Amino acid sequence: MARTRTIALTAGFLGLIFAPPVGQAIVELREGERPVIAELFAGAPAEAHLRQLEKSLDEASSLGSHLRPWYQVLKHRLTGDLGHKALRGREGWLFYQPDVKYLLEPYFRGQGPLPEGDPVAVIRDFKEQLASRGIDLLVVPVPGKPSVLPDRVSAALERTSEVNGNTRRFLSELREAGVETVDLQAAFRSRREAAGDDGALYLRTDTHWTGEGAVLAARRLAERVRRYSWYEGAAGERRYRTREASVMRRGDIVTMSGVPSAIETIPEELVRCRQVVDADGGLYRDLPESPVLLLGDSFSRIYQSDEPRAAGLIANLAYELQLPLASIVNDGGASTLVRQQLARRTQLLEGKRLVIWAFVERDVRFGLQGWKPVALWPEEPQPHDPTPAPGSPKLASP
Amino acid sequence: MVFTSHIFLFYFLPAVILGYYVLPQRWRNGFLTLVSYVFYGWWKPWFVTLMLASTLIDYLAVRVMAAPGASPRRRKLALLASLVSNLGLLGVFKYAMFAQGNALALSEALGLGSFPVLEITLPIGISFYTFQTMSYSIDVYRGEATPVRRFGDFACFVALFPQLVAGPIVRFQTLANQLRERAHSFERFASGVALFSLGFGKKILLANPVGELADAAFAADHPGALAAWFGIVAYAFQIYFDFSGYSDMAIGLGRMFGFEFPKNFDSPYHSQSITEFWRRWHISLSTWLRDYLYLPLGGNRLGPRRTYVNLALVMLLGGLWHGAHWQFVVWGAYHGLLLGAERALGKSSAYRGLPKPLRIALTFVLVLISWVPFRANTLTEAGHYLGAMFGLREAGAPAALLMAQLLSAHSLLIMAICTGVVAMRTQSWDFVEAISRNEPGVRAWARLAVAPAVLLTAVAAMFTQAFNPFLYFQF
Repeated sequence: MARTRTIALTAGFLGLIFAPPVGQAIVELREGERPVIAELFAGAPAEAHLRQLEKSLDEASSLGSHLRPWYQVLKHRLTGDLGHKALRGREGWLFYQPDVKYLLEPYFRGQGPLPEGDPVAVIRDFKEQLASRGIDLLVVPVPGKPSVLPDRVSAALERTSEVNGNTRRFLSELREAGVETVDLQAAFRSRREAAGDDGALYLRTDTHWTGEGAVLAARRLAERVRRYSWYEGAAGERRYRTREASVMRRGDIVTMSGVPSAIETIPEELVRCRQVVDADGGLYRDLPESPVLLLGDSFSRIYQSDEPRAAGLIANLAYELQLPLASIVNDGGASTLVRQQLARRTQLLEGKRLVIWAFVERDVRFGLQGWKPVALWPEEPQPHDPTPAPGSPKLASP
Repeated sequence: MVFTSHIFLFYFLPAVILGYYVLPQRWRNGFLTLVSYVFYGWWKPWFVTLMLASTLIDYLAVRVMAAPGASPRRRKLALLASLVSNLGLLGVFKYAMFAQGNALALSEALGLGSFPVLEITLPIGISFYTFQTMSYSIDVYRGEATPVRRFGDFACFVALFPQLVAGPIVRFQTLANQLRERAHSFERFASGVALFSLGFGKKILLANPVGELADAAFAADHPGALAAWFGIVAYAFQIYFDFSGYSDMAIGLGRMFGFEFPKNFDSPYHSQSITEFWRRWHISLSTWLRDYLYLPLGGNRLGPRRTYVNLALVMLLGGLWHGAHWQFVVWGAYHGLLLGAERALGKSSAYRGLPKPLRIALTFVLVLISWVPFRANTLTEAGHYLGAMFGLREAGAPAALLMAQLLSAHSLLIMAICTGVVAMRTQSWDFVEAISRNEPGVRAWARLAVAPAVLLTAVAAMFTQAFNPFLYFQF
């Protein structure tokens, strides 16, 4: 190698590896902070300390924050790639990869130990805890977008293609365990059949349903709730009405990708919603004393506490039932976190007749923090360590 | 620590280069040993004591063996102590859980009840460094290597961080002279930089993205034939670019510190037979197995029947070396069978009469089939996957969703690049040789620019990827 080229390559390499740590330390010192790398000497060289240091260095890296978007834009410009969370479907439809992964991978049971917990056993335990206080439980797995729109993912699939055998099996196991369920998949599919197109049920570049999807889910849920014997007594005079509202929304799949060039190019979608107002024209508001408590995730949050507000699943269910609801919503945390929140506020269960637990179907496999048993009333001798369903390994203690 | 991590590239490596070149020559081996322990202990600090113990035992065993006037019996006992301790370490940390699992399954099958299985964490790189230390005591016993005088030099040989975790497996005699004296030059350092950069690119820009495709295919319930073949080709690319990328980085880093490690890969997917594949794939392991297992067993000197037995045994143990699972035993047995068959045909394939491109393609297909048990988590999963590849399992409707994932523009581009690199026999080694030639002109500069461009792009990509250690770390 010619001397000049040798020196150039060596100097370039040394510059590349020496400049970032030195520059990073200078930036941190100028900002009056101790350089993150100094944390190395702040504790014993234990595994946890070293992992934390690596994490902190990654997060604080100025080089990373400059190079990351550059590379993402390059990849996006070359191939349209939106990162590992997004899958490009047909005709501009975007899908959330974990939604697709859930449909592709085998059912959670029968694959060995369940380190994330057994959702069926946990749900049954939750039902039993509620039943001990005379409260019913209604479980509502919300179909992910590719379950209802498989033909928008791949031209090889038809609108009627059955791709979510996992949820059907899950619902069937729940029913066998004596848990009441509502199958939204069937309702959504029927709507698509009737509409002839995509049914306007899901947003094109977002993981969630449209305002119309939320209304359809609320109607289907309300049909079941009305059949409870206590409902007639609980529902009083007509107290809610609806009005049209719309909102511009940029799909969360694009924003989650973090690719700046994609965020700029993908347009916002106009979403028409049904907003619920009370007799005085005020937006729907929860009532903690309601006989119905809804536990949900972002499908319950969208249009409800998000703009245009009071137009999501909760408000529309309240409208269908003409009954205010109580609710606890945790984005992405409907498998465990939402119950943990409830366990910290069990007074909310006083006077309740029904708990509706709605979570997106992919949570069966990929729920945040898995499926941990949660004791609602731990001071009482409740069976809070659920017996696993037949054939499933025993759950770990919480 | 992983080469393709922020902490390694921007903190560990600069500090080590700086320290190494600032220190006087006589302290450099000690310094390299010390930083290698930091490198190794970064994952789990206490594993350093294990490596230190292994180093100490072999050092002492060889001291006893090589003591003036040592009797043959004493020499043999010393060798035995080295072998038993190294194989004992491997046995406890790598194979004890496998043995317990099988005993448990057998006990349950016989209705004798179950018992708790003791969980043991596998120290990374243990298979590599125990093989290296064993080679030292065996070589000294055979009179093929001179015993090292300074413990520090031997500790440096065992712990040397560039090739500690995933090879290439280096015999002591290869490095003995280099440990005593090695040349440092700008040219050697720069060629190390180029190799390291290209290896870094292979891992981050090729192996990791195709690995995601392979993962998706293997995780699918009913992938369908096309997706299954696509997935296994993706895995073949992943394991090649991952492992050869690691070897390039190891050799490159070695050169930066004046060492020269042997080549570990030589366009293996261009092999025209399985025999040739094993001359080109993980060369340092196949050489080790040949020198320390196959030849001592008698090699091909004891007649055809014994040759087949030896081949099968070496490949079975080679499979087990990769991991304590039945899938690796099957993988080893499959290769042993193919090697035996080719041996019967005069070290040539059954399709030797076909044109060369077809011979290469057929060998690649045979290798692809072998990667199925290697990649699968269980033998049942491997069986299902092979069933899908050969159309014996019906594809479910979700298979079309999988194809949509696998056939995205980004996936196709990565697969096309991998195919191009493999098909054109582009090797980092040759590339670095080419840029090392004293050629004048713009072309030489352009060729030189490839290495930093690849490294810079790979560094940017590294910041977008989750933690992704090398596949061979698990072995």
